[in-house]
Amino acid sequence: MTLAIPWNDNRIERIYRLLFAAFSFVPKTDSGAGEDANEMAALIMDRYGDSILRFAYSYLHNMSDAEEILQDTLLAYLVNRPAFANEAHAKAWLFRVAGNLSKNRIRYNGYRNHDELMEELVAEEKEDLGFVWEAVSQLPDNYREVIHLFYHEGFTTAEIAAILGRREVTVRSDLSRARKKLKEILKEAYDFE
Amino acid sequence: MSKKYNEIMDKVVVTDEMRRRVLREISNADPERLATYKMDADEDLSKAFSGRKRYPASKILAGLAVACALILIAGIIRFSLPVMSPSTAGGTVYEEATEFSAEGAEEDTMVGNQDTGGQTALQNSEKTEEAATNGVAEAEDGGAAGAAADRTEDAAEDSTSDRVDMSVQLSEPEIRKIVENYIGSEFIISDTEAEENMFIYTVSDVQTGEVFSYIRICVSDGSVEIENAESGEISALTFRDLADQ
Repeated sequence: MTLAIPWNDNRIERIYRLLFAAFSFVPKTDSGAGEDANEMAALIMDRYGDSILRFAYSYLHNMSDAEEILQDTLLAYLVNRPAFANEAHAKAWLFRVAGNLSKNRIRYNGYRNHDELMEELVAEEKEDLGFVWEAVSQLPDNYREVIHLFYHEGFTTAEIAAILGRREVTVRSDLSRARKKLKEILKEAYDFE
Repeated sequence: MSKKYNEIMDKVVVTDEMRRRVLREISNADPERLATYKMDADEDLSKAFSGRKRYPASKILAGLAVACALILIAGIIRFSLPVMSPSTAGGTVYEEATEFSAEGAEEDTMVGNQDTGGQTALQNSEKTEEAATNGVAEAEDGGAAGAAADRTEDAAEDSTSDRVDMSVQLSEPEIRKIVENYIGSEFIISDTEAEENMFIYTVSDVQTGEVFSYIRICVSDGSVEIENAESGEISALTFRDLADQ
């Protein structure tokens, strides 16, 4: 395995070392607290925080819920401290946990709170973005998650299948149907090409 | 579209305040709550993302061994079937034709008619020998038997290819026809999508027009998935099962 480590950037180098090389140096405490655990959580948040938050937001449409999912994902990482083969594996693990926690949260809440992103887009008068977000929001969860992971995160269908625990054929089929449905919604409701 | 989606998502970021809040919560986490985050090891994820495990040397070697064995078996079947089986034509035609032409030549020589019967018989004998050696067995006297030999060889090839190749080698209309037979007269195919190596058929109720299920056929490996549109339940089978039913 070859990892292109940007040696000139001490911060990123440290992330790689922390994630892939020296898991054992973080003392495993019952509380999960402590300097090292906190430092590790901060490093993961700096590297993957935005991605996890966006993925959670794509399910929940609510910033405070998404923030809690980010927090829970980091805690799950610190408690389990899995060994990763490479960066893609680390990212996939965090996404799988965040996705499962988000789905549990939707089931627990029973409904979605108000959509702050939509309000922001409306306030900024960005109609085209508003249309797209509205259309994406209307998709069922299983379509929306593959759209997000494929287009925003750039995972392959095989990787998405592994993250979501589905067959690759199913992911490809969901992706195809999601695109079709998105097109229909945009065309019907907004006459948007 | 994806550009616009990315533009939207760029608005969702971890702010400094959020970062501080999350880290504070993590450092003050309750041990009882932490116990709920214990998870089982994710073997499937590790397999999918570990490049080393994806193509292990043992798998490559096993694949090569299987390929060699199949080539060997196919070779044995191709070259030995006519000789091994007395009921098939190759060997028998060769033997009979050779005997017949040799007898003819002998008789013709005996009666002194070398210009006509003897030469013809010899020519026949040469032709038959050549044909039998090539495994084609298209000698004049052994034509029908030769065709039988061809069929035997084809059948052997077919059965070999069935064992190694699970792909669906039919055209889309043929596949569609099989799906139509499978779903019966109460349902119709209301939509067809073609992906790379895959066909997706949307099956609807003839009476109500409601979508009943999605049938996904992966032509590269012959696998079939039938998803119930309402419950999302998926049943898996092979294309052969689909065709047989």
